[in-house]
Amino acid sequence: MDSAGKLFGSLCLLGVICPAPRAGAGSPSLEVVLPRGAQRGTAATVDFSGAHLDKALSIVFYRPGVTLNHIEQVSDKHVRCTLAIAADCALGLHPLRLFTASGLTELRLFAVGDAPEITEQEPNDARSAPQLVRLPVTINGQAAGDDLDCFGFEAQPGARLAAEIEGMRLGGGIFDPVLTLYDAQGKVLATADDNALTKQDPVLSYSFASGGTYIVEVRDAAYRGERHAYYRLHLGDFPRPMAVFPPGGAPGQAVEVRWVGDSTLARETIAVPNDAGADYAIFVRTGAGTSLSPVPFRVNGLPQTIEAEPNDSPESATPCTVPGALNGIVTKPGDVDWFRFSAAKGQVFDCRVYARQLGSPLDAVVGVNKLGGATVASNDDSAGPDSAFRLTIPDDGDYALYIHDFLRAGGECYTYRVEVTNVTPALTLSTPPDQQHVCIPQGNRNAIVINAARSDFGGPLQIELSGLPAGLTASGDTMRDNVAAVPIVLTAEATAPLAASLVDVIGQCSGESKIVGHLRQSIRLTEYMNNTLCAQTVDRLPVAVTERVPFEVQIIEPRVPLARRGQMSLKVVATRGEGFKEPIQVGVLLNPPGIGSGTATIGPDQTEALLPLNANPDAALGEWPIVAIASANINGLVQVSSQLARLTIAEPFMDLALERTRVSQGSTAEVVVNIAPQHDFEGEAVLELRGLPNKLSATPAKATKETKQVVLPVAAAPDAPLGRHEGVFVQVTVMQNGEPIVFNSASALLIVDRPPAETASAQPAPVGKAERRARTPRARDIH
Amino acid sequence: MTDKLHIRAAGAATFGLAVLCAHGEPIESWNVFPNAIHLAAQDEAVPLVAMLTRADGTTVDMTAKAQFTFSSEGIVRLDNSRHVVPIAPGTTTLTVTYEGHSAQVAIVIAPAVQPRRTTFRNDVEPILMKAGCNSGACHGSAQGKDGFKLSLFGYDPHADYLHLTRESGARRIDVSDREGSLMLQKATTRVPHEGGKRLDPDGPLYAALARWIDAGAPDDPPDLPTVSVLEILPPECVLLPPERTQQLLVIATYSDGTTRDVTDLALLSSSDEVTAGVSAHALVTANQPGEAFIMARFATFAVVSQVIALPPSTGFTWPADITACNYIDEFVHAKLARLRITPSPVCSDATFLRFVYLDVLGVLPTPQEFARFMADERPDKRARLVDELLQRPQFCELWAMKWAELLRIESSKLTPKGAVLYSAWLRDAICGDMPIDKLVRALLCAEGGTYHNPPANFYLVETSPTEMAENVAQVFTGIRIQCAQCHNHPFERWTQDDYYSFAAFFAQVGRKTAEDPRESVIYNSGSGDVKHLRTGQPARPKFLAGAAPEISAGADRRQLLAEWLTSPDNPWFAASIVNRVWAHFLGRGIIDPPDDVRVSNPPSNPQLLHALAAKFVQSGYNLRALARDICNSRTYQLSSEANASNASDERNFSHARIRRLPAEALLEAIGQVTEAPEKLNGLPLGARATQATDAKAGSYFLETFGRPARQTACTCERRDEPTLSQALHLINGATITEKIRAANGRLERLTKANIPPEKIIEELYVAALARVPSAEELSLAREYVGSAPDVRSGLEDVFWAVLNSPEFIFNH
Repeated sequence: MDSAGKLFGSLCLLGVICPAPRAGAGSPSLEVVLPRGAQRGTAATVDFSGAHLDKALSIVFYRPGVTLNHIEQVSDKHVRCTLAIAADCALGLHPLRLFTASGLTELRLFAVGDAPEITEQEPNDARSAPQLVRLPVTINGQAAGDDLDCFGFEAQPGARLAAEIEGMRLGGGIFDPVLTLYDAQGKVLATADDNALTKQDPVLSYSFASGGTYIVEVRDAAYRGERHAYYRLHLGDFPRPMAVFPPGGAPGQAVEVRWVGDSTLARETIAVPNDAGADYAIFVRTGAGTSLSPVPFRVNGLPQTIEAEPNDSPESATPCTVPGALNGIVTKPGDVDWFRFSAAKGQVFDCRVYARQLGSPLDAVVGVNKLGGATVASNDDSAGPDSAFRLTIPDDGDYALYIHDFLRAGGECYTYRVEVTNVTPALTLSTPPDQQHVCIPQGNRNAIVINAARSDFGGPLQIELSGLPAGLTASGDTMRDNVAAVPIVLTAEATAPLAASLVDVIGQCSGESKIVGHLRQSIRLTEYMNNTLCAQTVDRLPVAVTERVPFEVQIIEPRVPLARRGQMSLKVVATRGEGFKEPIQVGVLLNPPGIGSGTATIGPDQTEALLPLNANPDAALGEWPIVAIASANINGLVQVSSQLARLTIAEPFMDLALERTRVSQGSTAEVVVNIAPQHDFEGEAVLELRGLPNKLSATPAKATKETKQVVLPVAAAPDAPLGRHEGVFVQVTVMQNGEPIVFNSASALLIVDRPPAETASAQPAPVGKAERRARTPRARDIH
Repeated sequence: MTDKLHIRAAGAATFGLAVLCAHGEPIESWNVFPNAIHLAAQDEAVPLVAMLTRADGTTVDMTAKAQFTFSSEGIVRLDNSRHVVPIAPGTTTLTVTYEGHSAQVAIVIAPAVQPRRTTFRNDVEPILMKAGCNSGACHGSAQGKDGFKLSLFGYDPHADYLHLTRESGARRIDVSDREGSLMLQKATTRVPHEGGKRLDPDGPLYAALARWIDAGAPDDPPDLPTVSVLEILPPECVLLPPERTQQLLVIATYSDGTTRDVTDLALLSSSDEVTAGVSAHALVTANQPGEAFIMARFATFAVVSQVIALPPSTGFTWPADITACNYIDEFVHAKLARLRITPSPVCSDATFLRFVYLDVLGVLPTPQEFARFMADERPDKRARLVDELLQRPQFCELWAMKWAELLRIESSKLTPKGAVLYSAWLRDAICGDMPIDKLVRALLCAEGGTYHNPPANFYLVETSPTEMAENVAQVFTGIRIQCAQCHNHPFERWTQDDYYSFAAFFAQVGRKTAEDPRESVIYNSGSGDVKHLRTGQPARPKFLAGAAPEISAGADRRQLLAEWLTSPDNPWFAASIVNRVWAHFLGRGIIDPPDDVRVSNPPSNPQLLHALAAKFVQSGYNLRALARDICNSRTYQLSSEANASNASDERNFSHARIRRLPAEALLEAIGQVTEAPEKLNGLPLGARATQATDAKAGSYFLETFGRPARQTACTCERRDEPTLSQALHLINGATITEKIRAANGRLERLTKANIPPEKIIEELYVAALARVPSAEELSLAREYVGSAPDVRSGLEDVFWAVLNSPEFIFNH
């Protein structure tokens, strides 16, 4: 194992899922989609640029409304598509991936707008010479580094301007736009930066008292727009509410809501759909247009309570029922809202605040008190800025729930919804961040890890992939109840057509109450110091059949178990196509618990490699699925996997205890090893001393299943290093089925001393400073 | 305020004003020091010093010529060296007379008249300090010396006592064999001592140590009186030859009310040995004209006495034509008159124009502004110009930049966006005339997200309470308390207790990451403590040299700190800010450097500092009003040309100081004169270096010319001393040559317009130097251009020469 391999192995020992060699057959990579969006009801010519984009076949869209009309290969770095955007296509961001014959690209976003689109024209850096535009308009612009973009437009007296930028949301690097509105004299009329609803992307609305030319300026907040720094600036008179109240309702019902933060809106009654998902949000339509981005709205059947102000104290608390959804607004700085309810001893509730998740500026602090008494439970920030906690009712009686802002702020947009629910088991599936999709070459295999987050239940999970492209089959074991991940191997028939689809990943626990979960994961698009600045949540796994590749791999399943505290070399054999000489990197996709593994390379003229495996003393016993993944460079990295093989983890045959040993330089000593047999074995075990320091050597010994003690002679050279050597251990090898089972003892101490004769006639050792000081005469001695 | 700024001797018995002494000289006052004596032990003696102050402010030590009489006999007596020696309990009044003038000293001898008990803290520790045993180079170093360690300058007497008397292996005291005590043997070099001979075996210090050992080297009782006041007397003297000496006294007052002469125990030093030296027994000797401060250190106190040595010349008179323009000049003139220094004349209009633009705005006047000002014949045109300039945005941008340096606004700690927002907030606050006390309160009490409430960034620059405290002290009071983290401040009153108690105000600042991972939320966590390094105990919040306020649990400690700091009664806050502003305009602080306020670095003109601070408070902490007063003073408008009396004066603002342009102003000036402004990295087109929000934004030029990296709160980070790379950059570097030749530059514009060379030369001079060239300069330049291969290259060379002249690079 080389040093990199050791590091790899040690990381994996921690039970972390081993990173596979970078996934993606052929690794097509999509850098940017330009323009960054288009108007709905139009067809748009869109350029996809990146690397390894040859043989582009189609686009995988996650949402309906945008379809591919035509695809044209310009170069291996450039694909030009014509997209049709339906007239009723949802506004906002549409995730997509480009599919080529060799694989799927990263997820990118394409925005759909409501206004005619234009492209920014430089130079427009000076407010005195802005680019002139007519409203309504969507401007596709770019403001990298310290660029300033200025747009001028004419406004009539009394006209209203709504402006919104899609910038950071587009996922193109750290670009944090600031929007400033100036009059013709250069006076700042309004400025907008971050807000809780659209995060780093500014929105503003403004009514002009007098007519004339006005200028909107776009720049990065720190004058450091990163990477492409593309943005879409929407200017018009569309409604731009910042909050909706109540922020949730029941499916299938008509809910009267009040829009907050935009004077052009008041109340309306909305029909809540029956099939609203977790990410449901409402767009507002008026005669002047549609809000560009929607306001999130929680949909579930919980009994709805609306706060009745004043409810600033436990005494004036708004009565509510639990389980239920408590809706309110922390209307002013210092405001605290209280709700009261009755509950019985032993009842358990989950209390979850939905505020920032719904775009509210509220940083909620929530707690429950016994009415007139002490706090029973409270929380701040368990769910990001939102709070969540589990409440166990200590006694029958009345309770009061309070909610306020962390910094005691408040305002008309500080909406919240506290959902108090019974404890409900839940299951969510995901894949590792570096395995966002899986591509299987024709006639080959590839594999992916499915992770499961179980809450409030246990038990094994069946994983099913529904909606696979034709010619693909998936195989995987049941996910055991003591693990949270399982490898799934997908096999493509040689004749499977090239195709890509979004697959529903379903997990089921077939216990008494059948629990079903699906894939739901956040794909990070822009990060800041390993934190997410922009991400897209998806609920399906992209799976594709790709062109055949000239190699396959297979694990030679071991015929002996891997013992705890033991090591094994796992053989992986490659079948190379005619003339295929590329080195093949091999590793284990997912280590069983307590197992570490290394990587290996199958050289150009080789067909096999040994993957080092090692087991912790507490590695999980039993039979585990194990899959090798292999990648090679074929105009970009191509990955395939082995079959789903089995690895058994077993107890070692014996426990060994080494006694502490001293040996003098130039002489010999004996290391006594006491053996406590655990399991019978055939034949003889070979015991070897390992971890010896340089200039020491030992003779192996043998043991049978009856042996209780062995003695291993150890010889020290005259110049063997003096001192304590703590890493000495015994390695045991037992042959079974023609293969070795290897395991180790715990390590023990070996001390190398000076020869006895030298100690007796020793020269005075050099005296350390401390000793010198001890010998310094005391004051009285000095006379 | 002045009294608190450096502890001044309060007590001098005074009599008589403006009467004539026997020699016919007018007498201003007659003083005896100390003016009160309170003794409780029979072996104490207190010396007396009598001083005569003449009407011209000069002083004479008259102790030897004075007459001493007591109101009652048998209480005290006067020995031959004019020490008051107690005889019996009681009270009496000593009258000291000279030539008909008299002054009184109130004397109390407490009933328990017995030999003084030698204590560890009040006797042994001062001897260890006087002898230098506990200095940093000796046993006071962190590791001690040769196995024996004392706390630096005795900040931890308890530990010192244990080390001396109890520590096995290092014990230096043998109570059964005093002369065998290693401490005495070493200090007298009876056994080899690396530190040399520290004590005279026949001297009083040795005797005191011996007495303490003979008594069994006892530890002190818990109720041992501690020093509450230390005075060095007289607080000031003005020596006119032939007078060259003045005896000083150092008197300690203890918590039980008793006084003690500690002149021989105190550590004495002069701030300027060349002007005046001080002997171990506190005799001051003037060496040459000038001003020096004699510092006495005893216990945890340090105090100073001002010594002015005048030149021997007589016949100095204040020129009648030099009159004060405002209160600033009155204080400056008073000090100069006292030192017999004549200030330089007021500078020319052209000179004024250039430096007032550079100082107020950080830019040069344009040729149009030059012409307009020179043509203005109104007598108050300078004041009008000052008013006009103070309203320009560059003024507040300049001050926003200066504050940004102190607050260390830079992107690595604050994130790039945080630095931009914080800078913008600061600029808007200053441009909007936010009173400085309010601005500081907004910083200290800041709460919320660093992007939503930019002053909250204040709490991201440093996250440890102790470093926060150090920065707050240095930036807002000018006090450096850093030393006291590990030991008591050697030249100030600040103890470790002060340090940790002040840091405790920042112990409960909470920080959490906001939803945007780049942003932090600052809040009052309501819990947490700072542990005292020595005691390991949580420190209780206490203001510097102030009270420990009552703080209810969970209350925001920062609020109390902000109120105390920005209160008009705070002795340092306003003074420190006006001093920084003064230093900007005059090139040197009244206390200098402005962020090193300590007893041993006294203000050169405390009355001026006091007046500026008072006016600043009165104006509502208004920066513009302060700058206006300074710019309108005659003192600010002085020429840099010195005369015989003020050539060597560097401290009293008797002439203008010549300073190199700060990096930002120099780059701006080059861009302005060449009409080829620099495009700065990280800033939008047209932004000036002063507007940089980050210490890294901008260009190489700014770093070369000493722009601070904003890594510390120290004013010393900005460098204005010349370096070789600066010179090479100006001579050979791209900045000047490229800008001279710039396609849209001034020279290109002027030559294209077919303006005659001599007119171009004239404009270049006016643009760069704010003056027209002399006839000689003009003819030389014209001649050079005429001899050049072509007019354009000749003009480029002339331009280059002007921009490389010291006159351009310096503010004068």
